[in-house]
Amino acid sequence: MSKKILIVEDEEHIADGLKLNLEAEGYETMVATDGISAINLWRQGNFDLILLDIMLPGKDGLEVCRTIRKEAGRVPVLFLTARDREDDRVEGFLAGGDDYLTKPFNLQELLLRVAAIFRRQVWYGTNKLKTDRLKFGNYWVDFKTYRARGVEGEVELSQRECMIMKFLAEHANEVVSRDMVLDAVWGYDIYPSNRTVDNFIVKLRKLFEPDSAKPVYLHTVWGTGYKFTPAGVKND
Amino acid sequence: MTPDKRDLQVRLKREKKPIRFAFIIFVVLVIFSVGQLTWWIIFQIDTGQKQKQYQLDIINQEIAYLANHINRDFQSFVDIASLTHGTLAGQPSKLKEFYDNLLDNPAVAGYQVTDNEGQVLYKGGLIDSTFYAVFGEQSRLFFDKGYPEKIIKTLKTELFFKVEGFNDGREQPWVTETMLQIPPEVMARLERESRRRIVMFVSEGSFFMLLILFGAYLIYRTLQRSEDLKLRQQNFIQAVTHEFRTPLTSMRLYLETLKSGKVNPDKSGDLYPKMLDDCDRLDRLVDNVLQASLYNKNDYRLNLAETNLTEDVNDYLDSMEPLVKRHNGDLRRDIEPGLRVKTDYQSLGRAVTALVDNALKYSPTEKRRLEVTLRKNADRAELSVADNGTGIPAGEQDRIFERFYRVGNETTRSVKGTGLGLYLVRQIVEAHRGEVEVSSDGAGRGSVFTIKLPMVSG
Repeated sequence: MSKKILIVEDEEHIADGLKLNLEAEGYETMVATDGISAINLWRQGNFDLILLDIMLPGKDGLEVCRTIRKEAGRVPVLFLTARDREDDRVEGFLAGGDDYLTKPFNLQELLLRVAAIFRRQVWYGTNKLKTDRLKFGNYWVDFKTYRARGVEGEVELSQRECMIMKFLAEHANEVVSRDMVLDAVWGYDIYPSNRTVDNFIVKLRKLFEPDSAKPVYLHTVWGTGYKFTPAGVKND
Repeated sequence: MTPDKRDLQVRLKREKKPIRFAFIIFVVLVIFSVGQLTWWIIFQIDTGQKQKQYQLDIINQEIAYLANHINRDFQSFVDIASLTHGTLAGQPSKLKEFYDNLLDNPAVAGYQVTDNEGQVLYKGGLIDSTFYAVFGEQSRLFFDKGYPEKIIKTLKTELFFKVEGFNDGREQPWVTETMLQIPPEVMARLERESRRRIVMFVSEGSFFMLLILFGAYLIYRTLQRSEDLKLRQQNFIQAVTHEFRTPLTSMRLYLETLKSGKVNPDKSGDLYPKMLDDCDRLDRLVDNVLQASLYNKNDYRLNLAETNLTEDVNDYLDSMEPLVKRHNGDLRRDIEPGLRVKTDYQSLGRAVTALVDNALKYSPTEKRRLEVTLRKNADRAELSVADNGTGIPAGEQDRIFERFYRVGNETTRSVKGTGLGLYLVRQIVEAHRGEVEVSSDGAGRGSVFTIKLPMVSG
């Protein structure tokens, strides 16, 4: 069965071009030209991915993404926007986006990222850990239900956050580089942005570290990458 | 509060920071200046009181001197008189007569000025003859060493004292301090001076205080405006970048699509006109930015020619119809025929297009209703573009024609644009010696933009 992609883009030309290319890749697509109809379409259809612009009439893309996440939607969201400041990226991820690509984009890169998102979903389905629930300290992450217990109680995680936690758990107590995380969770072999991983780690620390300035589970290993210690290690 | 909101607020706070900093400096400066001034006024009033007291002290001191000297003079006169005549009889009353004479009519009787040590500095008037007239031959005794001192005028305060009375006979002292009174008009003058000083400093002080406050307000406003403009320019760069990127993104996407060769050749033929469309859009954008800079430098010359505005407006609107259709809009026209106006066809077209474009941008997506009206009103042609869109809050209606100004906040904006459109409209209309106005019943209730142009008479 082919994957269904919702394109949210108010610029007719860009929407047409995206539709044309994604359909040529064998995906099924639908187009929404404003934020409100995007949410309505998402509620009706069963989409595997949303390509989301930010500056939209009605409701902006960030708001659309937040609404979807609030309604427990776990569909991957790829922001496709002309806003390219670091703050904009962070905001995109905080709103619950999984990936962020700025306009003008390279078509090849977009198609690879889309393919990678779907490929990662297949990896996520396999089970190396032999359990659906990762436990560490007082906290847990459930990879099936996408729920987690963190510092502020039970929360909903995005698919991308779950994927990172799963990858870190598979490599518990090992140092993993940002590239490894990118490769496993995003699956890029082109244009990796290490900052993307950092942004997610910051968000996960907010969830699972009582004091995110002094992490005990999610450590930064200077110049190398990250290390997940389920037993909890203090580290100065 | 969710983390994202907090982050956004932190960012907004950071953007507001420079102006807040300037504001704090100004508040501190103003408080400092007002404090200084208040202190100065209080100091001056206090000084006024002290000066009055100081003068009173000097006067009292002079009185003491005077009484002292008169008594000493009496004594020495009595001593000399008893030496020469062997009797005191009648002499004090003669001295009293002399003083009374001097005091009653100083200009005629004469006067002298002495220093505090009793040295005669100046003799004036007919003092010698007055003395001689009273004392006869005895007066010679005094001519060499001067007359009794400080009887009329004191050097320091230049005040005249009235000697109220003398103890007659042999009682000493002949004159007491209480007999020498400060004249009431002197007291009144001192009071008046002190009051005038207070009034002067309070009014001067308040004036300077107002001046400082006004200056501070002016500087603060200038700072705020320049800060505002800076922010708007930043927003403009952000917005214009976005506007440039959109057609670029689309063209790049199409070129890559064609290059990949994966797309059905039947469909790929559709891509060329769309790319041309994007080129036009880029072209218009560059043109807008360029125009804005031209108008700004004031070196833009209109190519004015008398024309039939009715036909022109219909032309402009015809060229907008495809765009209106694409936006599911409904454009109604109510155009009065035969209005003749001097215009620059291209520039005015740009202004009308910008207004229609705006009306489309800020209207509800489902049903956009636009109404363009052209009618004659007195000696002016009025062209108005009305929409059923988001409207404009009353507080922003004056500002939307400013360069780079856009309603709302850039970080949460959902409508695209550069903030140049309405600025250009105003510049163009004013170059035509016309006016542009906006009215709106507020947010969500649509708005009406009206261009008023002077008609060709006759």
